[in-house]
Amino acid sequence: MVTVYHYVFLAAVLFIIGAYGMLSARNAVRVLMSIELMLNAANINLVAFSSYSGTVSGQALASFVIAVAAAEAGVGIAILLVLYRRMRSVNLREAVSMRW
Amino acid sequence: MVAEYSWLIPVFPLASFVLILLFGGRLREGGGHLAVAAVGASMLLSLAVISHVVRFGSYESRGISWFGSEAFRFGVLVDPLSAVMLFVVSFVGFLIVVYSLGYMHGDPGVQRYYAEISLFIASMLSLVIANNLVFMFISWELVGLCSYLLIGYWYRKPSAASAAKKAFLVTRVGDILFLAGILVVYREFGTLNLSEVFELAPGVATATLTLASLLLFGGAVGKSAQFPLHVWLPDAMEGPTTVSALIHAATMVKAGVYLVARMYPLFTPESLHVVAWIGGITAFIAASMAVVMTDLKRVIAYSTVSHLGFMTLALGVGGYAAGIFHLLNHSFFKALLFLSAGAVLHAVHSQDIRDMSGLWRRMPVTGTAFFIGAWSLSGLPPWSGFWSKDEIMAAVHSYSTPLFWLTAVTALLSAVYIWRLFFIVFTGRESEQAKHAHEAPLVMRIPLIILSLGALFSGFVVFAGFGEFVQGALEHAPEAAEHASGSVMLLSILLAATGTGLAALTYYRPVISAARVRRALAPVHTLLVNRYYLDHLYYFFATRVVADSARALRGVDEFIVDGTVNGTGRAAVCSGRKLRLLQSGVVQDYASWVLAGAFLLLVIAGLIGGGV
Amino acid sequence: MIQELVFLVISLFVIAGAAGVVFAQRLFHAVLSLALCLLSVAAVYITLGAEFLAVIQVLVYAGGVVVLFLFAVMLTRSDLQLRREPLESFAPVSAVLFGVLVLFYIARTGFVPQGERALAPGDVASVGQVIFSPKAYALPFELVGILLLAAMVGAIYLARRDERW
Repeated sequence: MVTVYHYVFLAAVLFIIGAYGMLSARNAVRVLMSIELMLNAANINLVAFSSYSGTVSGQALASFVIAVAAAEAGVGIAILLVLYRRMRSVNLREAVSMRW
Repeated sequence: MVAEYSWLIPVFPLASFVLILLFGGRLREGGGHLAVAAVGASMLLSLAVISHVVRFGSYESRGISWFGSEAFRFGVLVDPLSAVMLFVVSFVGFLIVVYSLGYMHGDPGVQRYYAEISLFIASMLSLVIANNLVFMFISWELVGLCSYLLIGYWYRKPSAASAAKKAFLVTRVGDILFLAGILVVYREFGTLNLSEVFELAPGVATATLTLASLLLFGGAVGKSAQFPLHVWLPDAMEGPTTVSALIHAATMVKAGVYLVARMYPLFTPESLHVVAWIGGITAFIAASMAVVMTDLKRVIAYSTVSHLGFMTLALGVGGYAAGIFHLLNHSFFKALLFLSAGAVLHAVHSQDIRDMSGLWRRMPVTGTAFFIGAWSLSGLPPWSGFWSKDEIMAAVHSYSTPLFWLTAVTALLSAVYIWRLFFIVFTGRESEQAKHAHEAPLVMRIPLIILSLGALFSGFVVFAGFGEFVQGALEHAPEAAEHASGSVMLLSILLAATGTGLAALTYYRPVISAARVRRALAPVHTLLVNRYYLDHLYYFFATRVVADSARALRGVDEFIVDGTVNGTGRAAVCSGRKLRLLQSGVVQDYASWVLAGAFLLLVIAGLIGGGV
Repeated sequence: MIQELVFLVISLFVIAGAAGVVFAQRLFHAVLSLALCLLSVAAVYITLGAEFLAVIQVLVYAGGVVVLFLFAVMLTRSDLQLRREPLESFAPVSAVLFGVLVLFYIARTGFVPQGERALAPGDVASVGQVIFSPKAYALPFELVGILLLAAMVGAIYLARRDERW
């Protein structure tokens, strides 16, 4: 029998992979993709809890999350393009002008 | 009645102080005439008040209170004791200020001189009529201040400045003890008004009284240059001779003796014992040092210390009247000696007696004055010094035998040193400097003459009932001191004569060779010339103990305080330098810090318990 | 039994896709991997009975967002092979630690059984009820609309070529 914990576990693993990717990737696009992974993990949690409680609001919230995530990805890529025009590269290790 | 105006007595010289300070520059002689007038007025008023006391007895005013406090009232008390002091201070003070007109003529700072002298006389006068310990203390401190100012009158001279400092610091020690005594009195009696304190005194425990009186005596030890705080007085001779005469012979130094006499009801047999011995020791060591000194004023200064010792001794052994009697006489002949010395210095421009000799020819008036002063001081009959010294010796005789013999030796030495001075300075072949000497101007000669009369005849008041008069100031007369008996009188005359003879044989006709005596007693001589090494002791204490420990503590302070302050600064800068390295510029590093923070929060939340 | 198997298979796809995003050498592959992952998540939603949400996931995420990333890859020419640089920062370590902690907490709950899954309605109508009812999420819905507008304007402005406007 599948319990809610299965889904929670799955979401956790997905989140960890996303976090790892966000922190260690050099390419900015990869970072943004990792962020999407983390958001999806959160969504899985939302829907799982909502489903196992017999309510629907979790799904409603999840759809809002998807909307916001999409918006964020769009704006993020726009910023990325500006950065690319400046630096000719999207290697985040090179974008370090705001250091000590 | 006139006694109600006795508070005015210090006011005249006080006003003179202020006026001279403000306008003295524009007046002739720097305002000296104003000072003379003011002190003269005080003197006349004092005489009037004294006659009132003689006829009607003591007078005390209630005075003004300090912000409504009952314990601190500034009022006036004139009793026989204050009467004597008023007389001494105002009369001798007046003569000396007149003398100053001649002595200080031409000195660039005379305005300052007369202002300070006026303030001094005002303070001294208020000291002797104060009826409250705090009032007394304030006047006491003012007197000390003026002494400092006047010793250091020629402030550009380093020796004068340092002597002034020394005087102030040493008497300060005494002042602290005095203050401590006042505190004990206040705690025990709840009041500082003299009459109230004396009324309550019999009911207080002996130990407390002894403590209080000894502390107060501490103040006297400082001010009256008793052992071991006598070291400032000889060096105080750096000031003008008139200052030495007035402050360090006739008046200020008497303040300590006055204090003991005034607070006599508080003294227990135990504290009086201390007083007596300190007086006796002081008298002896000062006299011994006077015999070897070569500076004219210094010899007279040591003589003053010695005689102050006599007065203290007298009070200690119960000879209350004898002590005050000697105070009166001493003021005259000591002032006389100083002023004649002043005339000599004025003429010869040197203070070393080895430069002077044979001055009699050119300065007969001065010489006579000095002669009279010496005769009186040495205790030869029939002049004043003989009578009071006699009374003192009688009192000591009935008190303690070892002390008596010490006093006897001191009496002998007194004769020796003063006649030594006279013979060296005034007799013999004229020295180089003496050839240029001239007699003092009239304005200086007249006070000398008047003082001479005083030195000769002041002793005869004893026949007018002086003793009983003075003792009227006390509620309970002290243990009946033995009065001059025949044998004591004879011994005293013998001692004075022997001393005079020794001096004559050594310095008038060189029968005894001074140089050979000096060689024979070389170690003693060294000890005396080095002032029993007391000054060395004090100097050592001040430099090594005090200064070095201060330096060490300063190091600690710098280390701790500055260390903390600078350390804090350095810590801030250092940590800043290290912490800024956290800003790598790499966004992901920042993100990982966020994650780490979330991690920490989760851990904490988990530990605290409750739902995660 | 069947349920568990299904769940397992779908989970594997999710995880594999995620891993691919992070570890794929070429960026293009990473994007495709992302697409796989997102589709698998949609499958997860279906197993949870959220059909409407699953469809939205496919349309918006697997459809729109993935295309967006593809454009990003193409416009920034970052498909070029990047040399594998050594991981110098402690960032990954902290991610791992964090993960350990999360799993620890999950384990700590003791896996109290929740009982049978109550089948919640996942159809459009019920979801729509919740979203549009004024007592529930009507206001947030409107606000999200405004947010999308703002994001769109912002993205267009940021990415413009011409400095003239």
